[in-house]
Amino acid sequence: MGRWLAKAAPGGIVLVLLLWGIEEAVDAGLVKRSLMPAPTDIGRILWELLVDGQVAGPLAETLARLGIGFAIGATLAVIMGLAMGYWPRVYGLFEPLIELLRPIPKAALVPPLVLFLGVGDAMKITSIALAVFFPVLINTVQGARGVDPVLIDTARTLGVRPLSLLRKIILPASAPFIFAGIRLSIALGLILAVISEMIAGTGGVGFLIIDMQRAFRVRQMYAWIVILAVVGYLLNLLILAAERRFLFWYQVTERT
Amino acid sequence: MCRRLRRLVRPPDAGGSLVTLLKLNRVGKSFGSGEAQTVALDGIDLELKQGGFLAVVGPSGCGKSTLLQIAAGLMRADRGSVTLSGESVVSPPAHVVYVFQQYTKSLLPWRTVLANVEFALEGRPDIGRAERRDRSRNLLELVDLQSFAGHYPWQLSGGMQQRVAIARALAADARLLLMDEPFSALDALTRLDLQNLLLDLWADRKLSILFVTHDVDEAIYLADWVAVLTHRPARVHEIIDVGLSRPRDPITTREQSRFLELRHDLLGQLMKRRNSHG
Repeated sequence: MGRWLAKAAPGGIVLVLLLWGIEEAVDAGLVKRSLMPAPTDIGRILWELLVDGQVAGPLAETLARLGIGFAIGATLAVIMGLAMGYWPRVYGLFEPLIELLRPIPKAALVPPLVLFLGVGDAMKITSIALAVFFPVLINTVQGARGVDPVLIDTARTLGVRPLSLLRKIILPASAPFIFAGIRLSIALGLILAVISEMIAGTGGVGFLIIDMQRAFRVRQMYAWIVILAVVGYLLNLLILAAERRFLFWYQVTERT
Repeated sequence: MCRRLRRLVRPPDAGGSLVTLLKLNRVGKSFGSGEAQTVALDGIDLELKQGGFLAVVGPSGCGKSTLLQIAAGLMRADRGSVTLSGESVVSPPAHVVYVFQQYTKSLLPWRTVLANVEFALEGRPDIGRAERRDRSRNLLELVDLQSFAGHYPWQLSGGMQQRVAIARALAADARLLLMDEPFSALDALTRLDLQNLLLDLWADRKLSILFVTHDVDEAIYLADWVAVLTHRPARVHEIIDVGLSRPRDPITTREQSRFLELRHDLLGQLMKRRNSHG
């Protein structure tokens, strides 16, 4: 604990200094309160949102979409990534298409998706799934192609059939790469959740941020941005915990 | 290029039963194409009798592993044929298990030792979970690892890891083991232990073994027959009948004049071959 504190202390000091600087600048009139309210004001709003439970509804809405979109996007990406990584023919079939679609910023696809799917949950979940899909796919393919041939030959000589081989060998052996993709994609998924709510929203954190901005309720706007920051941070912690749980063997074997 | 080498190949006529289990018939394999093509194997003839122990020795990089992979059905030969009990081998056959030199890569690091052995039984619908566990535990006991069942492979020493791989091969109900320098990465004493464990299992379970090694001592100590390969392209230069009595003893067998004589001849041949090829 003491060591952790020593490691975290310098960064914490920078953070506190920055907030204090902003506070002083706002108080001294260097920044307009209508553009950047004092951190303590934002803090007060944040506290109200938390205490009277206002935070729950919009946050649950956004997280539900993120969860569903992520589950769909990541599942499809892992299945396709394993197939592409294991069967060179499947790889050859889809590789050009993926290389073409991958560089498109997925936020740019929200307007066309609105045309197809309207402004409801289907569009938002699809945008999130698309954003999640590519990083997980690329990493899964890379992981699956890199599985040691000795491991694959071991399974083959033990008579393991291709589908079991994918599930029992290629999938776990690629897991470190899949997790790397997941960590990237959860951040992208959150971005798309917020953007799609901003473009076509009636609720959720993204909608509230733009709604508060339009209503000149700047402190509320910042409070929701802080909430997003915390959510992103916690999601990352969640993934790190999952990695420790599932990749215990990888960290050990890689070190030796 | 090496056509002038004398062919002294004579088919083994004893060792185990008289039934041929594995037969390689003029097997050839090349890698690359055009100018860069190298012939790895050229007209390999080998025969392993049921219950026999055949060692293959040759200089490093002479294609021994390629030969074994073709025998295992993990790789296809360009020329010639491989048959197992008279049937052509085109994919890994049942009851034939390949044991790799790189045991660290061959065990599943995310599974415990017990689960690694169970892995070989999971494809069998006739064996339930409880029986799978029981059988695997018994096999771990056979290789003296019962107290490490809950460990992970990377927590074990090299020799113990290779024991897990052997237990797993037995779980797969292996009748024929194809062993690719399985003990070459181990320290000398551990290697002796595992050689004796292997000989015991071979005798008790009536296994047949094709054993590739670059260690002449190991080949003579273990096998009924030793096939000597030439360097690139690999051909069978000679097949030697070891003729040492069994059971073999890690110390006294190696002191017998027959052992020393064979060792002298084989090492001489391999070193000569090495020098003439740089």
